[in-house]
Amino acid sequence: MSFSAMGDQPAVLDTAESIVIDGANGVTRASRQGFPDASWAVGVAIVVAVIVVAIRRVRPALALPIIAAGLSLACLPGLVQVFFERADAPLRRPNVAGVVRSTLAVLAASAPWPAPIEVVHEDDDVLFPLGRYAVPVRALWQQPEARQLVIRGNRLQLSCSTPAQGQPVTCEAPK
Amino acid sequence: MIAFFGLLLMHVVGASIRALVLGEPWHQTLRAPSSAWFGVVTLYGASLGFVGLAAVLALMAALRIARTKSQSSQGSKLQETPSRGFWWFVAGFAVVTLARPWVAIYWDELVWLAKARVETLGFGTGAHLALDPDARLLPMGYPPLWPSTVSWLTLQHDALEAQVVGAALIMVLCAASAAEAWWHSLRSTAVATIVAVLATPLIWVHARSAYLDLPVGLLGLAVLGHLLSGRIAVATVMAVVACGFKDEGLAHVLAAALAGWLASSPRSPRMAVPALAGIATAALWRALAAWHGVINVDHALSWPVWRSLPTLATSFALHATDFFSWGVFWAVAAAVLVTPSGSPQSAKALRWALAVNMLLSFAALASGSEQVRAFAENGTLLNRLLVQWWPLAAALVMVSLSHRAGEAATARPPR
Repeated sequence: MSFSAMGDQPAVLDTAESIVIDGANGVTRASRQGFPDASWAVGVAIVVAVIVVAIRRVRPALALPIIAAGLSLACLPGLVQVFFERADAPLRRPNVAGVVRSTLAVLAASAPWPAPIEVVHEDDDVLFPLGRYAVPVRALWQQPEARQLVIRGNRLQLSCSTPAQGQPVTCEAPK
Repeated sequence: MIAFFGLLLMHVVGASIRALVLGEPWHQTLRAPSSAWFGVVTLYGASLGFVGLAAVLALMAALRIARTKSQSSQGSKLQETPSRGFWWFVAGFAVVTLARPWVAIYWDELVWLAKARVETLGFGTGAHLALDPDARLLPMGYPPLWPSTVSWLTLQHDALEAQVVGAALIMVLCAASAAEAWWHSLRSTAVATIVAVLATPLIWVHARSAYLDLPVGLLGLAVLGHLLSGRIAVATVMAVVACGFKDEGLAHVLAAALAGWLASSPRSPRMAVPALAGIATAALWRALAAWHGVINVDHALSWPVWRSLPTLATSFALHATDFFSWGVFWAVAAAVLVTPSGSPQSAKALRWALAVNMLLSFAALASGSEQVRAFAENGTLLNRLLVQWWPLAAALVMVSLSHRAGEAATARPPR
Protein backbone atom coordinates (compact mmCIF):
# COMPACT_ATOMS: atom_id res chain seq x y z
CA MET A 1 0.00 0.00 0.00
CA SER A 2 1.38 3.37 -0.96
CA PHE A 3 0.85 6.72 0.70
CA SER A 4 2.61 8.87 -1.85
CA ALA A 5 1.13 12.08 -0.41
CA MET A 6 3.16 11.43 2.70
CA GLY A 7 6.47 11.06 0.96
CA ASP A 8 8.36 7.89 1.68
CA GLN A 9 6.72 4.69 2.86
CA PRO A 10 6.29 4.67 6.62
CA ALA A 11 8.98 2.80 8.47
CA VAL A 12 7.00 -0.36 9.06
CA LEU A 13 7.61 -2.37 12.23
CA ASP A 14 7.87 -5.58 10.25
CA THR A 15 10.33 -7.69 12.24
CA ALA A 16 9.96 -9.40 15.58
CA GLU A 17 12.89 -7.39 16.95
CA SER A 18 11.36 -4.05 15.92
CA ILE A 19 8.10 -5.08 17.58
CA VAL A 20 9.86 -5.90 20.85
CA ILE A 21 11.67 -2.56 20.93
CA ASP A 22 9.18 -0.12 19.41
CA GLY A 23 5.91 -1.98 18.98
CA ALA A 24 4.09 -0.03 21.70
CA ASN A 25 5.83 3.31 21.15
CA GLY A 26 3.93 4.09 17.98
CA VAL A 27 2.20 2.41 15.07
CA THR A 28 5.29 2.96 12.89
CA ARG A 29 8.91 3.91 13.59
CA ALA A 30 8.06 7.59 13.01
CA SER A 31 8.64 8.64 16.63
CA ARG A 32 12.09 7.03 16.61
CA GLN A 33 12.97 8.63 13.27
CA GLY A 34 12.07 12.16 14.35
CA PHE A 35 8.81 12.24 12.38
CA PRO A 36 10.02 12.53 8.80
CA ASP A 37 6.50 13.45 7.58
CA ALA A 38 5.95 16.04 10.31
CA SER A 39 5.23 19.07 8.12
CA TRP A 40 2.52 17.20 6.22
CA ALA A 41 0.96 15.68 9.35
CA VAL A 42 0.98 18.92 11.38
CA GLY A 43 -0.57 20.76 8.43
CA VAL A 44 -3.38 18.21 8.19
CA ALA A 45 -4.00 18.43 11.95
CA ILE A 46 -4.24 22.23 11.88
CA VAL A 47 -6.67 22.17 8.95
CA VAL A 48 -8.80 19.51 10.64
CA ALA A 49 -8.86 21.41 13.95
CA VAL A 50 -9.93 24.64 12.20
CA ILE A 51 -12.67 22.81 10.27
CA VAL A 52 -13.96 21.16 13.45
CA VAL A 53 -14.08 24.47 15.36
CA ALA A 54 -15.81 26.18 12.43
CA ILE A 55 -18.35 23.48 11.83
CA ARG A 56 -19.24 23.22 15.52
CA ARG A 57 -19.92 26.95 15.61
CA VAL A 58 -21.62 27.43 12.23
CA ARG A 59 -23.41 24.12 11.49
CA PRO A 60 -23.55 22.08 14.71
CA ALA A 61 -26.09 19.68 13.21
CA LEU A 62 -23.51 18.57 10.65
CA ALA A 63 -20.66 18.31 13.12
CA LEU A 64 -21.29 14.75 14.23
CA PRO A 65 -21.53 13.02 10.84
CA ILE A 66 -18.69 15.00 9.28
CA ILE A 67 -16.31 14.60 12.23
CA ALA A 68 -17.16 10.92 12.67
CA ALA A 69 -16.52 10.33 8.98
CA GLY A 70 -13.25 12.28 9.16
CA LEU A 71 -12.03 10.33 12.18
CA SER A 72 -12.93 7.02 10.54
CA LEU A 73 -11.20 7.83 7.26
CA ALA A 74 -8.06 9.24 8.90
CA CYS A 75 -7.52 6.16 11.04
CA LEU A 76 -7.48 3.81 8.03
CA PRO A 77 -3.73 4.07 7.19
CA GLY A 78 -2.85 3.35 10.81
CA LEU A 79 -5.31 0.48 11.03
CA VAL A 80 -3.83 -1.02 7.85
CA GLN A 81 -0.50 -1.01 9.67
CA VAL A 82 -1.98 -2.51 12.83
CA PHE A 83 -4.01 -5.23 11.12
CA PHE A 84 -1.87 -6.11 8.08
CA GLU A 85 1.61 -4.56 7.86
CA ARG A 86 3.19 -4.84 11.29
CA ALA A 87 4.83 -8.02 12.45
CA ASP A 88 2.28 -8.18 15.30
CA ALA A 89 -0.73 -7.96 12.95
CA PRO A 90 -3.29 -10.62 13.93
CA LEU A 91 -2.25 -13.15 11.28
CA ARG A 92 1.48 -12.60 11.89
CA ARG A 93 1.46 -12.27 15.66
CA PRO A 94 1.70 -16.02 16.34
CA ASN A 95 5.11 -15.97 14.59
CA VAL A 96 6.45 -13.19 16.82
CA ALA A 97 4.95 -14.86 19.88
CA GLY A 98 6.57 -18.15 18.87
CA VAL A 99 10.01 -16.56 18.50
CA VAL A 100 9.72 -14.81 21.87
CA ARG A 101 8.46 -17.97 23.54
CA SER A 102 11.29 -20.11 22.13
CA THR A 103 13.91 -17.51 23.11
CA LEU A 104 12.55 -17.44 26.66
CA ALA A 105 12.61 -21.25 26.70
CA VAL A 106 16.30 -21.24 25.71
CA LEU A 107 17.06 -18.76 28.50
CA ALA A 108 15.00 -20.72 31.02
CA ALA A 109 16.81 -23.95 30.11
CA SER A 110 20.21 -22.37 30.68
CA ALA A 111 19.23 -20.17 33.62
CA PRO A 112 16.27 -21.66 35.44
CA TRP A 113 14.85 -19.10 37.86
CA PRO A 114 14.66 -18.83 40.89
CA ALA A 115 17.81 -20.94 41.11
CA PRO A 116 20.88 -18.82 42.03
CA ILE A 117 21.87 -16.92 38.88
CA GLU A 118 24.12 -13.91 38.52
CA VAL A 119 23.77 -11.96 35.28
CA VAL A 120 27.26 -10.58 34.68
CA HIS A 121 26.50 -8.94 31.32
CA GLU A 122 23.39 -8.12 29.27
CA ASP A 123 23.19 -5.96 26.17
CA ASP A 124 20.76 -3.08 26.48
CA ASP A 125 18.80 -4.01 23.41
CA VAL A 126 16.14 -6.37 22.16
CA LEU A 127 17.25 -9.20 24.44
CA PHE A 128 17.28 -7.03 27.57
CA PRO A 129 13.55 -7.41 28.43
CA LEU A 130 13.67 -11.15 27.77
CA GLY A 131 16.69 -11.45 30.05
CA ARG A 132 14.84 -9.45 32.67
CA TYR A 133 11.84 -11.77 32.47
CA ALA A 134 14.09 -14.84 32.61
CA VAL A 135 15.98 -13.53 35.66
CA PRO A 136 13.92 -10.75 37.29
CA VAL A 137 16.06 -10.19 40.39
CA ARG A 138 19.75 -9.60 40.01
CA ALA A 139 21.88 -9.22 43.10
CA LEU A 140 19.72 -11.44 45.29
CA TRP A 141 21.70 -14.53 44.34
CA GLN A 142 25.25 -13.23 44.57
CA GLN A 143 26.46 -16.38 46.19
CA PRO A 144 29.51 -18.53 45.42
CA GLU A 145 27.36 -21.28 43.93
CA ALA A 146 25.40 -18.87 41.67
CA ARG A 147 25.53 -19.71 37.98
CA GLN A 148 26.86 -16.79 35.93
CA LEU A 149 25.02 -15.71 32.81
CA VAL A 150 26.02 -13.53 29.86
CA ILE A 151 23.41 -12.36 27.32
CA ARG A 152 24.70 -10.77 24.10
CA GLY A 153 23.29 -9.73 20.76
CA ASN A 154 20.37 -7.92 19.21
CA ARG A 155 18.38 -10.74 17.62
CA LEU A 156 15.77 -13.01 19.11
CA GLN A 157 17.35 -16.26 17.93
CA LEU A 158 19.50 -17.35 20.85
CA SER A 159 21.80 -20.21 21.56
CA CYS A 160 23.52 -20.80 24.88
CA SER A 161 26.91 -22.39 25.44
CA THR A 162 27.55 -25.21 27.86
CA PRO A 163 30.37 -23.76 29.95
CA ALA A 164 33.42 -25.32 31.43
CA GLN A 165 33.58 -25.44 35.19
CA GLY A 166 33.62 -21.91 36.62
CA GLN A 167 32.83 -20.23 33.31
CA PRO A 168 29.64 -18.25 32.70
CA VAL A 169 26.83 -19.53 30.50
CA THR A 170 26.88 -17.34 27.38
CA CYS A 171 23.63 -16.87 25.50
CA GLU A 172 24.27 -15.18 22.21
CA ALA A 173 22.28 -14.21 19.16
CA PRO A 174 23.83 -14.83 15.73
CA LYS A 175 25.32 -11.70 14.18
CA MET B 1 -7.81 -20.24 32.78
CA ILE B 2 -6.40 -19.66 36.23
CA ALA B 3 -6.47 -15.88 35.78
CA PHE B 4 -10.22 -15.96 35.05
CA PHE B 5 -10.75 -17.84 38.30
CA GLY B 6 -8.44 -15.40 40.08
CA LEU B 7 -10.45 -12.44 38.80
CA LEU B 8 -13.69 -14.09 39.90
CA LEU B 9 -12.23 -14.70 43.34
CA MET B 10 -10.92 -11.12 43.59
CA HIS B 11 -14.31 -9.79 42.52
CA VAL B 12 -16.23 -11.82 45.10
CA VAL B 13 -13.79 -10.78 47.85
CA GLY B 14 -13.94 -7.14 46.72
CA ALA B 15 -17.73 -7.17 46.51
CA SER B 16 -17.92 -8.60 50.02
CA ILE B 17 -15.58 -5.92 51.41
CA ARG B 18 -17.55 -3.22 49.58
CA ALA B 19 -20.83 -4.55 50.95
CA LEU B 20 -19.37 -4.63 54.45
CA VAL B 21 -17.78 -1.17 54.29
CA LEU B 22 -20.43 0.75 52.36
CA GLY B 23 -23.48 -1.14 53.59
CA GLU B 24 -24.61 -1.87 50.03
CA PRO B 25 -26.53 -5.09 49.31
CA TRP B 26 -24.13 -7.86 48.35
CA HIS B 27 -26.09 -8.83 45.23
CA GLN B 28 -25.64 -5.26 43.99
CA THR B 29 -21.93 -5.00 44.72
CA LEU B 30 -21.47 -8.32 42.91
CA ARG B 31 -22.95 -6.79 39.76
CA ALA B 32 -20.60 -3.77 39.77
CA PRO B 33 -17.18 -4.41 38.15
CA SER B 34 -15.64 -1.67 40.29
CA SER B 35 -16.17 -3.83 43.40
CA ALA B 36 -13.08 -5.91 42.54
CA TRP B 37 -10.86 -2.89 43.34
CA PHE B 38 -11.88 -3.09 47.01
CA GLY B 39 -10.17 -6.49 47.11
CA VAL B 40 -7.12 -5.21 45.22
CA VAL B 41 -6.68 -2.24 47.59
CA THR B 42 -6.98 -4.47 50.65
CA LEU B 43 -4.35 -6.88 49.33
CA TYR B 44 -2.10 -3.95 48.38
CA GLY B 45 -2.16 -2.64 51.93
CA ALA B 46 -1.44 -6.10 53.32
CA SER B 47 1.45 -6.60 50.87
CA LEU B 48 3.15 -3.44 52.16
CA GLY B 49 3.32 -4.81 55.69
CA PHE B 50 2.01 -3.35 58.93
CA VAL B 51 2.03 0.29 57.74
CA GLY B 52 0.14 -0.54 54.57
CA LEU B 53 -2.38 -2.70 56.36
CA ALA B 54 -2.99 0.03 58.94
CA ALA B 55 -3.45 2.57 56.13
CA VAL B 56 -5.97 0.45 54.25
CA LEU B 57 -7.91 -0.32 57.45
CA ALA B 58 -8.00 3.41 58.21
CA LEU B 59 -9.25 4.08 54.68
CA MET B 60 -12.02 1.50 54.94
CA ALA B 61 -13.02 2.79 58.40
CA ALA B 62 -13.15 6.36 57.07
CA LEU B 63 -15.29 5.26 54.12
CA ARG B 64 -17.59 3.38 56.48
CA ILE B 65 -18.01 6.43 58.75
CA ALA B 66 -18.55 8.73 55.78
CA ARG B 67 -21.14 6.29 54.40
CA THR B 68 -22.98 6.21 57.68
CA LYS B 69 -23.07 10.02 57.81
CA SER B 70 -23.97 10.41 54.15
CA GLN B 71 -27.60 11.17 53.50
CA SER B 72 -27.67 9.97 49.92
CA SER B 73 -28.13 6.29 49.24
CA GLN B 74 -25.44 4.85 46.99
CA GLY B 75 -27.40 1.64 46.56
CA SER B 76 -30.05 3.26 44.43
CA LYS B 77 -27.36 4.74 42.14
CA LEU B 78 -25.72 1.38 41.73
CA GLN B 79 -28.86 -0.34 40.52
CA GLU B 80 -29.07 1.54 37.26
CA THR B 81 -25.54 0.81 36.00
CA PRO B 82 -25.25 -2.76 34.75
CA SER B 83 -27.61 -3.23 31.81
CA ARG B 84 -27.51 -5.85 29.08
CA GLY B 85 -25.82 -3.39 26.68
CA PHE B 86 -23.16 -2.70 29.29
CA TRP B 87 -22.30 -6.37 29.60
CA TRP B 88 -22.20 -6.73 25.81
CA PHE B 89 -19.70 -3.86 25.71
CA VAL B 90 -17.53 -5.49 28.39
CA ALA B 91 -17.69 -8.86 26.63
CA GLY B 92 -16.75 -7.28 23.28
CA PHE B 93 -13.81 -5.43 24.81
CA ALA B 94 -12.68 -8.63 26.53
CA VAL B 95 -12.72 -10.51 23.22
CA VAL B 96 -10.65 -7.78 21.50
CA THR B 97 -8.16 -7.70 24.39
CA LEU B 98 -7.79 -11.43 24.90
CA ALA B 99 -7.91 -12.70 21.30
CA ARG B 100 -4.16 -12.85 20.80
CA PRO B 101 -1.37 -15.30 21.60
CA TRP B 102 -0.83 -15.11 25.34
CA VAL B 103 2.83 -14.16 25.09
CA ALA B 104 4.35 -10.78 25.96
CA ILE B 105 6.04 -9.32 22.87
CA TYR B 106 6.72 -5.66 23.73
CA TRP B 107 9.69 -4.31 25.70
CA ASP B 108 7.95 -3.02 28.82
CA GLU B 109 5.53 -5.92 28.95
CA LEU B 110 8.37 -8.33 29.66
CA VAL B 111 10.15 -6.02 32.10
CA TRP B 112 6.96 -5.39 34.11
CA LEU B 113 5.77 -8.99 34.00
CA ALA B 114 9.19 -9.90 35.41
CA LYS B 115 8.04 -8.07 38.54
CA ALA B 116 4.86 -10.16 38.54
CA ARG B 117 7.12 -13.23 38.46
CA VAL B 118 8.83 -12.06 41.63
CA GLU B 119 5.48 -11.95 43.45
CA THR B 120 5.05 -15.66 42.65
CA LEU B 121 7.76 -16.36 45.24
CA GLY B 122 5.31 -15.41 47.99
CA PHE B 123 2.68 -12.86 48.94
CA GLY B 124 4.27 -9.44 49.34
CA THR B 125 7.62 -10.49 47.84
CA GLY B 126 7.11 -8.11 44.91
CA ALA B 127 6.75 -5.10 47.20
CA HIS B 128 9.49 -6.39 49.51
CA LEU B 129 12.06 -6.74 46.71
CA ALA B 130 10.93 -3.48 45.08
CA LEU B 131 12.01 -1.88 48.36
CA ASP B 132 15.38 -3.66 48.31
CA PRO B 133 17.93 -1.58 46.36
CA ASP B 134 20.24 -4.60 46.05
CA ALA B 135 17.59 -6.59 44.18
CA ARG B 136 17.76 -4.09 41.27
CA LEU B 137 14.19 -4.82 40.26
CA LEU B 138 13.60 -2.63 37.20
CA PRO B 139 12.29 -0.02 36.83
CA MET B 140 13.43 0.91 40.34
CA GLY B 141 11.23 2.79 42.78
CA TYR B 142 8.02 2.42 40.79
CA PRO B 143 4.84 1.51 42.71
CA PRO B 144 4.43 -2.30 42.76
CA LEU B 145 0.64 -2.70 42.70
CA TRP B 146 0.13 -3.57 39.02
CA PRO B 147 2.61 -6.48 38.80
CA SER B 148 1.45 -7.71 42.19
CA THR B 149 -2.18 -7.65 41.02
CA VAL B 150 -1.22 -9.64 37.92
CA SER B 151 0.32 -12.25 40.19
CA TRP B 152 -2.65 -12.29 42.57
CA LEU B 153 -5.06 -12.82 39.68
CA THR B 154 -2.97 -15.79 38.54
CA LEU B 155 -2.95 -17.11 42.12
CA GLN B 156 0.85 -16.65 42.02
CA HIS B 157 1.23 -19.22 39.27
CA ASP B 158 4.59 -18.65 37.52
CA ALA B 159 3.67 -18.93 33.82
CA LEU B 160 3.94 -16.23 31.15
CA GLU B 161 0.63 -17.20 29.52
CA ALA B 162 -1.25 -16.84 32.80
CA GLN B 163 0.43 -13.51 33.57
CA VAL B 164 -0.44 -12.10 30.13
CA VAL B 165 -4.08 -13.13 30.64
CA GLY B 166 -3.99 -11.61 34.15
CA ALA B 167 -2.71 -8.32 32.72
CA ALA B 168 -5.37 -8.41 29.98
CA LEU B 169 -8.08 -8.99 32.57
CA ILE B 170 -6.88 -5.93 34.51
CA MET B 171 -7.27 -3.97 31.26
CA VAL B 172 -10.82 -5.33 30.88
CA LEU B 173 -11.62 -4.53 34.51
CA CYS B 174 -10.41 -0.94 34.07
CA ALA B 175 -12.51 -0.53 30.90
CA ALA B 176 -15.53 -2.07 32.62
CA SER B 177 -15.09 0.24 35.62
CA ALA B 178 -14.87 3.29 33.35
CA ALA B 179 -17.91 2.14 31.35
CA GLU B 180 -19.80 1.50 34.60
CA ALA B 181 -19.15 5.10 35.65
CA TRP B 182 -20.01 6.63 32.26
CA TRP B 183 -22.70 4.30 30.95
CA HIS B 184 -25.46 6.84 31.58
CA SER B 185 -23.65 9.32 29.29
CA LEU B 186 -22.62 6.76 26.69
CA ARG B 187 -26.19 5.48 26.32
CA SER B 188 -27.14 8.68 24.53
CA THR B 189 -23.94 8.80 22.46
CA ALA B 190 -24.22 8.35 18.73
CA VAL B 191 -22.88 4.97 17.57
CA ALA B 192 -20.98 6.63 14.71
CA THR B 193 -18.94 8.68 17.17
CA ILE B 194 -18.15 5.67 19.34
CA VAL B 195 -16.95 3.67 16.34
CA ALA B 196 -14.90 6.57 14.98
CA VAL B 197 -13.21 7.23 18.33
CA LEU B 198 -12.53 3.58 19.16
CA ALA B 199 -10.84 3.12 15.79
CA THR B 200 -7.74 5.04 16.95
CA PRO B 201 -4.85 2.83 15.72
CA LEU B 202 -2.38 3.06 18.63
CA ILE B 203 -5.17 2.33 21.10
CA TRP B 204 -5.73 -1.00 19.37
CA VAL B 205 -2.08 -1.85 19.92
CA HIS B 206 -2.22 -0.94 23.61
CA ALA B 207 -5.61 -2.57 24.23
CA ARG B 208 -4.01 -5.83 23.09
CA SER B 209 -0.90 -5.49 25.24
CA ALA B 210 0.15 -5.75 28.86
CA TYR B 211 1.12 -2.05 28.99
CA LEU B 212 -0.17 -0.02 31.89
CA ASP B 213 -0.83 3.31 30.19
CA LEU B 214 -4.33 2.61 28.90
CA PRO B 215 -5.49 1.04 32.20
CA VAL B 216 -4.31 4.09 34.17
CA GLY B 217 -6.11 6.41 31.76
CA LEU B 218 -9.27 4.32 32.05
CA LEU B 219 -9.01 4.42 35.85
CA GLY B 220 -8.70 8.23 35.73
CA LEU B 221 -11.83 8.37 33.60
CA ALA B 222 -13.60 6.00 36.01
CA VAL B 223 -12.63 8.11 39.04
CA LEU B 224 -14.13 11.20 37.39
CA GLY B 225 -17.29 9.35 36.36
CA HIS B 226 -17.89 7.90 39.82
CA LEU B 227 -17.25 11.34 41.37
CA LEU B 228 -19.83 12.97 39.09
CA SER B 229 -22.30 10.20 39.97
CA GLY B 230 -21.82 10.88 43.68
CA ARG B 231 -20.09 7.56 44.41
CA ILE B 232 -17.24 9.18 46.33
CA ALA B 233 -16.21 5.99 48.14
CA VAL B 234 -15.84 3.99 44.92
CA ALA B 235 -13.93 6.86 43.31
CA THR B 236 -11.64 6.98 46.35
CA VAL B 237 -10.80 3.27 46.20
CA MET B 238 -10.10 3.53 42.48
CA ALA B 239 -7.91 6.59 43.10
CA VAL B 240 -5.79 4.46 45.44
CA VAL B 241 -5.49 1.82 42.72
CA ALA B 242 -4.52 4.40 40.06
CA CYS B 243 -1.76 5.81 42.29
CA GLY B 244 -0.63 2.31 43.30
CA PHE B 245 -0.38 1.26 39.65
CA LYS B 246 1.71 4.16 38.39
CA ASP B 247 3.08 7.51 39.55
CA GLU B 248 1.19 9.17 36.70
CA GLY B 249 -1.99 7.92 38.35
CA LEU B 250 -1.68 10.83 40.78
CA ALA B 251 -1.98 13.34 37.93
CA HIS B 252 -5.14 11.56 36.74
CA VAL B 253 -6.65 11.52 40.22
CA LEU B 254 -5.83 15.18 40.98
CA ALA B 255 -7.20 16.23 37.60
CA ALA B 256 -10.39 14.19 38.10
CA ALA B 257 -10.97 15.60 41.59
CA LEU B 258 -10.44 19.20 40.49
CA ALA B 259 -12.62 18.70 37.41
CA GLY B 260 -15.35 17.03 39.46
CA TRP B 261 -15.29 19.91 41.94
CA LEU B 262 -15.41 22.58 39.22
CA ALA B 263 -18.24 20.85 37.38
CA SER B 264 -20.37 20.05 40.42
CA SER B 265 -23.15 22.29 41.62
CA PRO B 266 -23.09 23.14 44.46
CA ARG B 267 -19.34 22.65 44.74
CA SER B 268 -18.68 20.10 47.43
CA PRO B 269 -15.41 19.57 49.36
CA ARG B 270 -16.19 15.81 49.27
CA MET B 271 -14.84 15.87 45.71
CA ALA B 272 -11.35 16.23 47.23
CA VAL B 273 -11.51 12.88 49.04
CA PRO B 274 -10.15 10.75 46.14
CA ALA B 275 -7.36 13.29 45.64
CA LEU B 276 -6.38 13.06 49.31
CA ALA B 277 -6.43 9.26 49.14
CA GLY B 278 -4.32 9.36 45.97
CA ILE B 279 -1.78 11.72 47.55
CA ALA B 280 -1.62 9.51 50.66
CA THR B 281 -1.06 6.39 48.50
CA ALA B 282 1.74 7.98 46.49
CA ALA B 283 3.30 9.53 49.61
CA LEU B 284 3.22 6.24 51.51
CA TRP B 285 5.04 4.42 48.72
CA ARG B 286 7.56 7.23 48.29
CA ALA B 287 8.18 7.29 52.05
CA LEU B 288 8.70 3.51 52.19
CA ALA B 289 11.04 3.67 49.19
CA ALA B 290 13.05 6.54 50.69
CA TRP B 291 13.19 4.72 54.05
CA HIS B 292 14.73 1.70 52.30
CA GLY B 293 17.09 3.76 50.14
CA VAL B 294 15.31 3.09 46.85
CA ILE B 295 15.26 6.08 44.52
CA ASN B 296 12.99 6.44 41.52
CA VAL B 297 15.47 8.29 39.32
CA ASP B 298 13.02 8.53 36.41
CA HIS B 299 10.35 10.30 38.45
CA ALA B 300 12.52 12.41 40.74
CA LEU B 301 11.23 16.01 40.73
CA SER B 302 13.26 19.19 40.95
CA TRP B 303 12.93 22.80 39.78
CA PRO B 304 11.50 23.10 36.27
CA VAL B 305 14.00 23.26 33.43
CA TRP B 306 12.33 26.11 31.54
CA ARG B 307 14.52 25.82 28.48
CA SER B 308 13.13 22.34 27.88
CA LEU B 309 9.57 23.61 27.43
CA PRO B 310 9.74 24.53 23.71
CA THR B 311 11.31 21.18 22.84
CA LEU B 312 8.73 19.29 24.90
CA ALA B 313 5.85 21.24 23.35
CA THR B 314 7.18 20.57 19.86
CA SER B 315 7.64 16.87 20.64
CA PHE B 316 4.07 16.67 21.95
CA ALA B 317 2.73 18.30 18.81
CA LEU B 318 4.69 15.92 16.59
CA HIS B 319 3.54 12.85 18.50
CA ALA B 320 -0.10 13.96 18.63
CA THR B 321 -0.18 14.60 14.89
CA ASP B 322 1.50 11.30 13.97
CA PHE B 323 -1.01 10.27 11.33
CA PHE B 324 -0.40 6.53 11.52
CA SER B 325 -0.66 6.33 15.30
CA TRP B 326 -3.57 8.71 15.88
CA GLY B 327 -5.20 9.63 12.58
CA VAL B 328 -6.70 13.07 13.28
CA PHE B 329 -7.97 12.13 16.74
CA TRP B 330 -5.94 14.70 18.68
CA ALA B 331 -6.73 17.47 16.19
CA VAL B 332 -10.45 16.79 16.75
CA ALA B 333 -9.98 16.48 20.52
CA ALA B 334 -8.08 19.79 20.65
CA ALA B 335 -10.81 21.51 18.64
CA VAL B 336 -13.53 20.13 20.92
CA LEU B 337 -11.48 21.15 23.96
CA VAL B 338 -11.43 24.82 22.90
CA THR B 339 -15.07 25.05 21.77
CA PRO B 340 -17.03 24.45 24.97
CA SER B 341 -20.28 26.21 24.05
CA GLY B 342 -23.47 24.48 25.10
CA SER B 343 -21.84 21.35 26.51
CA PRO B 344 -23.38 19.30 29.31
CA GLN B 345 -21.92 19.11 32.83
CA SER B 346 -20.10 15.86 32.09
CA ALA B 347 -18.36 17.41 29.07
CA LYS B 348 -17.34 20.38 31.19
CA ALA B 349 -15.79 18.01 33.74
CA LEU B 350 -14.04 16.01 31.03
CA ARG B 351 -12.66 19.20 29.51
CA TRP B 352 -11.24 20.32 32.85
CA ALA B 353 -9.86 16.88 33.66
CA LEU B 354 -8.08 16.61 30.32
CA ALA B 355 -6.64 20.12 30.47
CA VAL B 356 -5.45 19.78 34.09
CA ASN B 357 -4.03 16.32 33.45
CA MET B 358 -2.05 17.63 30.47
CA LEU B 359 -0.74 20.58 32.46
CA LEU B 360 0.31 18.39 35.41
CA SER B 361 2.07 15.90 33.15
CA PHE B 362 3.78 18.69 31.23
CA ALA B 363 4.93 20.27 34.51
CA ALA B 364 6.17 16.88 35.75
CA LEU B 365 8.17 16.42 32.56
CA ALA B 366 9.68 19.89 32.81
CA SER B 367 10.54 19.28 36.47
CA GLY B 368 11.57 15.66 35.99
CA SER B 369 14.91 14.04 35.43
CA GLU B 370 17.05 14.50 32.33
CA GLN B 371 16.45 10.82 31.66
CA VAL B 372 12.68 11.31 31.32
CA ARG B 373 13.16 14.23 28.94
CA ALA B 374 15.55 12.05 26.93
CA PHE B 375 12.81 9.39 26.74
CA ALA B 376 10.42 12.11 25.56
CA GLU B 377 12.80 13.20 22.83
CA ASN B 378 13.80 9.75 21.61
CA GLY B 379 10.20 8.75 20.97
CA THR B 380 9.56 6.21 23.72
CA LEU B 381 7.45 8.24 26.15
CA LEU B 382 5.08 10.85 24.75
CA ASN B 383 2.83 8.53 22.74
CA ARG B 384 2.32 6.57 25.94
CA LEU B 385 1.26 9.73 27.78
CA LEU B 386 -1.15 10.39 24.93
CA VAL B 387 -2.48 6.84 25.39
CA GLN B 388 -3.06 7.68 29.07
CA TRP B 389 -5.01 10.82 28.13
CA TRP B 390 -6.96 9.10 25.37
CA PRO B 391 -9.85 7.80 27.56
CA LEU B 392 -10.64 11.33 28.82
CA ALA B 393 -10.29 12.83 25.35
CA ALA B 394 -12.34 10.06 23.72
CA ALA B 395 -15.14 10.49 26.26
CA LEU B 396 -15.01 14.27 25.74
CA VAL B 397 -15.31 13.92 21.95
CA MET B 398 -18.13 11.37 22.23
CA VAL B 399 -20.15 13.28 24.82
CA SER B 400 -19.66 16.74 23.24
CA LEU B 401 -20.43 15.76 19.66
CA SER B 402 -23.47 13.69 20.55
CA HIS B 403 -24.80 16.44 22.81
CA ARG B 404 -24.42 19.13 20.13
CA ALA B 405 -26.03 16.90 17.52
CA GLY B 406 -28.95 16.16 19.84
CA GLU B 407 -29.27 19.85 20.73
CA ALA B 408 -29.30 20.89 17.08
CA ALA B 409 -31.90 18.25 16.22
CA THR B 410 -34.11 19.42 19.10
CA ALA B 411 -33.76 23.07 18.09
CA ARG B 412 -34.74 22.38 14.46
CA PRO B 413 -38.26 23.75 13.78
CA PRO B 414 -40.92 21.11 13.05
CA ARG B 415 -41.99 20.77 9.42
